[in-house]
Amino acid sequence: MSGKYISANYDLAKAEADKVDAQIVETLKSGHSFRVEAGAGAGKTYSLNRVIEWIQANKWSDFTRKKQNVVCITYTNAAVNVIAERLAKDSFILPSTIHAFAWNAIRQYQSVLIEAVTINPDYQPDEGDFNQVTEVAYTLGHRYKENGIQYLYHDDVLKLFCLLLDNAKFRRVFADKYPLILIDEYQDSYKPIIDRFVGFFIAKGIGPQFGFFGDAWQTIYQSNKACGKIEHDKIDVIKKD
Amino acid sequence: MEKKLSYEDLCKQVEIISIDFLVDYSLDDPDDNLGALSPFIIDVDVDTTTALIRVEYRLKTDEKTLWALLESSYYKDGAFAPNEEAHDVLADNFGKLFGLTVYAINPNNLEDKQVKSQKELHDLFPFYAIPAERVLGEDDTQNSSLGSLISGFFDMSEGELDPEVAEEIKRLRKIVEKANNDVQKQSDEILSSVVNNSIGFGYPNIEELKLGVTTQLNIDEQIKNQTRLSYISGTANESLPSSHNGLGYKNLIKIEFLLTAFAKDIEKRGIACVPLLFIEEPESHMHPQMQTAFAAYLEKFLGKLSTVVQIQTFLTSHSAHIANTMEFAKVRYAQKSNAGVIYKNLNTFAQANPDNIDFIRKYLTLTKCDLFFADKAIFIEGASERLLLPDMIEKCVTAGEFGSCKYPLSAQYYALIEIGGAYAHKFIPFIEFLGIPCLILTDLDPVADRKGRGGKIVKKSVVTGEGETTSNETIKWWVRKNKGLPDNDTSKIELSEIIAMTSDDKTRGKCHIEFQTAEKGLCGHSLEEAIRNVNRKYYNLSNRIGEKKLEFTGKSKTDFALDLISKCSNYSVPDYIKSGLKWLNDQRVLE
Repeated sequence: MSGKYISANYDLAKAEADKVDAQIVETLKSGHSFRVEAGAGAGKTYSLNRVIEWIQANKWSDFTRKKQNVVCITYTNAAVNVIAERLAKDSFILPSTIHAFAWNAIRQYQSVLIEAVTINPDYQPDEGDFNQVTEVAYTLGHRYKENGIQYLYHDDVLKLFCLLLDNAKFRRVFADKYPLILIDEYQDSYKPIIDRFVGFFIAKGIGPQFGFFGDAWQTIYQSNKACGKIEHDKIDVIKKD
Repeated sequence: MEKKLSYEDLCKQVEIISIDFLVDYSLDDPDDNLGALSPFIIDVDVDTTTALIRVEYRLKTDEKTLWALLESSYYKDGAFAPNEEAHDVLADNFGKLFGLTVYAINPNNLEDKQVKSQKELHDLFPFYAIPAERVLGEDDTQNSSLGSLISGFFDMSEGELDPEVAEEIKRLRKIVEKANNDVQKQSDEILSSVVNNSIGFGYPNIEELKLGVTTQLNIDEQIKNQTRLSYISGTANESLPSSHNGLGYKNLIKIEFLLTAFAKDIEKRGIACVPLLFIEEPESHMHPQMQTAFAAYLEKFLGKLSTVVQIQTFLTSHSAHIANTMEFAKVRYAQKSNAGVIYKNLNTFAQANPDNIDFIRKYLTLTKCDLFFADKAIFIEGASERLLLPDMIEKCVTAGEFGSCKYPLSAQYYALIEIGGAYAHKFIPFIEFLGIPCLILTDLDPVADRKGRGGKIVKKSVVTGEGETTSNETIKWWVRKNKGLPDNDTSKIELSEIIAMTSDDKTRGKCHIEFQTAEKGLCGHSLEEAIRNVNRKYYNLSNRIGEKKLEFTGKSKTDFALDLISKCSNYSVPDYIKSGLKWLNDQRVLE
């Protein structure tokens, strides 16, 4: 194979990829929620990064003036760091794991959280004292109680996030704060959350714009309530092969 | 060592200074951006649309640090014995001991609160203060608002530029860029040759190595730092430095620049906040007309900005010209009292007294009276009183009528308000609201039923002896109030009843009313008559005259007053004025 041939092939592939990225940007501008379906090695991460760069370059003043954040949810902390490196220091784009994101969204509603962990036996800690809970916190992901502070288990955060998503006022404030939510490897997302995103926001055509990036075939954590393929009339599908 | 006070009890004993902010928001319109307010919304009740934010200034050090800071100066050998430096130690460490704590509070459950950062508060309420002590002109570099404004124009991206100046700024930038390059190139060439020629010790020699010189020249920096305002006089085409201009204009221009800088900052900060603007006494060095115009200008200026975002402005002023221009709803009246400063919301008064408010506001605006800034007020009938009262007050002081008080009425700040008996009563509720001691000097205005044209019975002005009642609305209002009758009661009030009023009857709260009383057997029914009555000799009146003779028949009341002051300087002051002034002199301002 000659070098020239490789180069021509590369140019062709790049042109094709750029076309898809341009399509994603067009969809972003339209305000519709969308799903980018990309098989293994199709350059999904590349697309996600291009999208983030585009948002950072074009939406900065729009979002910062309204004190809004774009969230980019990834599955691992390592992936969070990869994206963070590409962002400006004071960027309005927040790369985050779903747990950290959910916790940041719900932590200020302490009265709701305290009530939930006090009443619902599902949240009862195995260790700790019997003091009344006065604060709910999330640090290491162990569930225990100390001096009236109840620390949450990772999955507790997701469940409490769902509990709050069921509240209309929470959704209103949430949608105001996060006008655009990008989710990488969406197929592995916690299904109850995705169901609420679709039901409360996408289906009704209100709230944040969602961008799902992933490959429905690659669902790895099926046992852990992973959502798999997300389908809805109001989600534009962009295929990348 | 025995612990007499727990740390928690100490915290409780140190008084907390706190301020509550209530911010209303709407949930209905999804496009209505909550922005910087959302961290403070900690409830999930859809019917609650107010956020409660509390900021406390309180003891912030923990027990250990507090102990470490203070022990050495307050305790000796385990006993409480503050030494001489104890107070200084406390003063020096004030900033460490006390601090701000910001809370978001759940309006439905005040126990539910959480600490927020000062940055979050500042994001919500970006504020800007134009202090009274502003350095005028552009002579100081630190305070150079013009310089910073121009720097801003240089640093801003094209999209951020105000379209009104964008073209000019772009042209200026281009010129500066070109000049930067040209000057740089030429100066480098010349300087290099200068250096090459002047360093003549042979090494490095010309064949081997050429020395180059570059100087960093930045013309834009020059423009940013060295631009000074000058004033070009319209006709002479002469340009004068800022320091040659009057303080009034300088002050106005300074405020304008500061406001523009504020506007730029607000634009950058965006729409999701509640910007606060504080302007302290803008009136300094401004003449009265300019003060009035300034207040109107400010409203317009802020209105222009508020298409993007609502700016809440706090303006403090000692200027009657500014205060009278403002709508009552926007005025908060600060009053000193022994218990501290009391703030009165004129909006609450305006809403409780919708009938009077228009009249009062119009009156204050038209007469430019300084009621807001006076310690005491005197309501008078007209020009004669206005001219004579200051002199009469002096006379009372000299005659020892005010006893031995340190600051007699003449040294107190009283406002004379020319408002006749027909309207004075409309002002009384307002005066009561402000809480200023007020003396009302009015006329008895006796009237009686007389046959008018066509035999109709009408009320006519008569001498006191023949009077049946009064036509003075304020006296009528007063008597009705004393009797507990409604304002619109129409039952006849006997003149004898009015004349018989005691000093107590004439006092209602902080207001006192006085009108002509009988002296030397006669009772005049205006100030002029009362003066003629007690100065009979000067007016060639005998001691056996009747009330009709007291009548003032001159054309000008002003002439009457000026004539008295200039030609009869030792005249006697009528009793009703004396007792009124004595009452007012004794009223305490601070309570």
